[in-house]
Amino acid sequence: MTTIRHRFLILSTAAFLPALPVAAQDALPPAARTAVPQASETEAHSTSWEPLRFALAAEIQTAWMLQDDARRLWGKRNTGGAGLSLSYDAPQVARKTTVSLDLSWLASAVSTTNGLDLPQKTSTQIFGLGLSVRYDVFRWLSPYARVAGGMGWAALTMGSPDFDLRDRAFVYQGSAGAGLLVRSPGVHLVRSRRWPPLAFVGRVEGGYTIGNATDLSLKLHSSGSGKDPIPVEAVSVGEVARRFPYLRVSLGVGF
Amino acid sequence: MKRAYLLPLLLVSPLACHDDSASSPSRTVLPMVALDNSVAYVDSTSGTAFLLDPANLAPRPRMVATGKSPIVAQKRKAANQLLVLTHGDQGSSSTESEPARLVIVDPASNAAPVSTDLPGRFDRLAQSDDGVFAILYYGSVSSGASGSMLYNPNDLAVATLDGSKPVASRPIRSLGSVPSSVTFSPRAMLFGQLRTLAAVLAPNYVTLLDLDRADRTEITVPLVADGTQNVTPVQVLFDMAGANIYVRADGSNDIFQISLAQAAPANSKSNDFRVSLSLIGAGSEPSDMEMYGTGDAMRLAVTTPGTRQLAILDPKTGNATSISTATQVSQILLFQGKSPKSSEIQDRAMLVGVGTGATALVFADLKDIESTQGLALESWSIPSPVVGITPLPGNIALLNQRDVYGSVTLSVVNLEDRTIEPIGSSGALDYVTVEATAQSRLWGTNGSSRIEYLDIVNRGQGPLYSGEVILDQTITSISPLAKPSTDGKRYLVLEMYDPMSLGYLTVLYADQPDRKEARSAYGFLLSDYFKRGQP
Repeated sequence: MTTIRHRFLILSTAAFLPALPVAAQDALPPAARTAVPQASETEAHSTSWEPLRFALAAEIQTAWMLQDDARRLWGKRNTGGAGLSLSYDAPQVARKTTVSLDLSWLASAVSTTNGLDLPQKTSTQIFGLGLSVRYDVFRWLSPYARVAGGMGWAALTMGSPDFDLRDRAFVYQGSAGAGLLVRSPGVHLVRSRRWPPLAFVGRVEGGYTIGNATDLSLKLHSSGSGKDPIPVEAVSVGEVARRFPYLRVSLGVGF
Repeated sequence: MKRAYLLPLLLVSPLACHDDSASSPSRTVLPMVALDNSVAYVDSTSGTAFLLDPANLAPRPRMVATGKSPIVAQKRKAANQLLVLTHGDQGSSSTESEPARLVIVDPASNAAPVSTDLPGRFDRLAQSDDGVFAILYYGSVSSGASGSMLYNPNDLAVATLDGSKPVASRPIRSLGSVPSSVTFSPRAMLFGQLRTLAAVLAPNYVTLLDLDRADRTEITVPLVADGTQNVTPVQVLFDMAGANIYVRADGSNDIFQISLAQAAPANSKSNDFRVSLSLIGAGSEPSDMEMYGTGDAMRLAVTTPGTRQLAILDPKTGNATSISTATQVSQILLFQGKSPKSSEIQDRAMLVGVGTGATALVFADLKDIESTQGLALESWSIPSPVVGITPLPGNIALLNQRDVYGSVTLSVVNLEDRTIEPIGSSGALDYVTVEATAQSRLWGTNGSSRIEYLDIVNRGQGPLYSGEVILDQTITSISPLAKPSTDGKRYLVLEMYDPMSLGYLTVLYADQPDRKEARSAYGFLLSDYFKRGQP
């Protein structure tokens, strides 16, 4: 009797080393392949390759700032962000072809000292909706193409705590990319077919994002000590282009 | 096993970011320049001038590229223009060199600034009072001054700011010293021609340039004959009508008289005048000198604090009349006006011991003082020593005094009535500026966010009318603008405490300052920072 904990370890290994076990399975003769254990109501904790409907994943994204103004805004050539995504696989539109919708939230923040020797903090929060089409080359490997749109805000703070300038601007963006999805076999953790199997799902995606230029007008942040402060004019630090290639990696659980 | 490491590496990659900003240089911003109705800042690092109209503190001030490494920014005299002297860039294997430039920016025009390449990387700029001529020179013999390894520190250039003539390189003779300052004559007729002379002062030497004739050689006048004495010329007076130049020098008890005499030029590069030097003894080292009278009655009044005397020098004869002042006076404030005893308008002077610790003012009736001597002087005691004096229109002077506690106090002196009105202050004034125009108004702050003002002349609200405005941040400088801005209002521009040098101004109406009408701009030196690139 294999314990759940033991199976979990196997699944984890499958997620990080997906090529080895499945490639071995694909190398098997067709008759042998049918011997892969299928989940049933009578056999709990078994693995299966049933299609997954949902996936909840944590993701990280690296973006490469190609424009000088964007590099100054972020203080770096490449920036990182992290977030969450929830995807839904529609029933297969064709054999081995799946359309998927996903909702995502991605946050990034960079603190640096800019060219003026000023502390500078840049952050974004983007909420996105994506549509992807994937083709199952193998049960565990599916290349896909994805388009997505999103909106949110970018915030910039510059200066010291007593004299900091701040602004937040609305941003929207669209992206197009392609990548690979890998999944592990699903495992039934409950003795009922009503409960879907759980599987690890990972994605690696590269693409390009185009968005509106970010126009930030910084304004002295008042601590509120003055009852009726003298109005302070904002300063426009210039529009920053929002165009960058990205690499997105996610890892999560499908069910 | 290598594949096993691929994913973790991808996960870590966002954290392995390269920081571009680490090698960026710090920023240098030249002091604010108050123009007629606007203000300008020049960012040395980015080579950008920021022009701000107080009537419209827009999110993007007008930005003008000045060229690399601006080192001097001044208002052009008698004109509403900004002058910027840049050092340029010597270049390197990866960057192109850029010549030093003199840039003239007109804040009222959107046209590109007028930029003139200079023959050297000068670091000093002196202007004639009429704003027509500028002399660019080196203020040091160190290589850091020019950015060059080897250069002639006695090279200088004459620029005509109205653009009527090209910049002329005018190297002067190197006699072991470098220029310390440049003084311009008033523009006047001399030997039948309208001209402006410049006196380039250097230890032991004065060099004269006829600025209207760039092709003429300079005239170098050694002040000491044998080189055993060191004198440093510090003050020059031009008597263009009498064709004389008077030089006062530290380290000498004499006034140097340089007489100009018309002479036919020997060749095309010679001047049409010659010079001769004579000395007029003042008895002791002079601290100040002023010219008064005309023609044969022209005299020099000279203070000699060492002997507590006022010396009256007759340049025609070389005679000196010394009159004891009883107190150590060091500065002369010349005026024409009445006195309490005489309604006759004549040359008079107030003698002040600036920095001497004297607690008395001496008024002198200069007409016939050589005969009346001590009778022409009148002393008035004051409570504390004078550290500065500001002449104002209407024969009024503002005395800057420092009491025994080191605090600055102020007094208004009516030179004709010889009355001294102390100005009360609840605290020590750290920064005072006076509008030396017909609308004399004194502005002061005590290093806080409070600005106080006082009308030295009656502006319709009574004599010595005062008021105050409290702002949101510590005031660091006060600049009343001379002329109304684009909205027809004249502004007072206050620099506020700005530890990061991003630009922090508050503007008030200069004629009716009121906090309710105050507006501030902070961070305007960051304008278009992301677009401009280098800060």
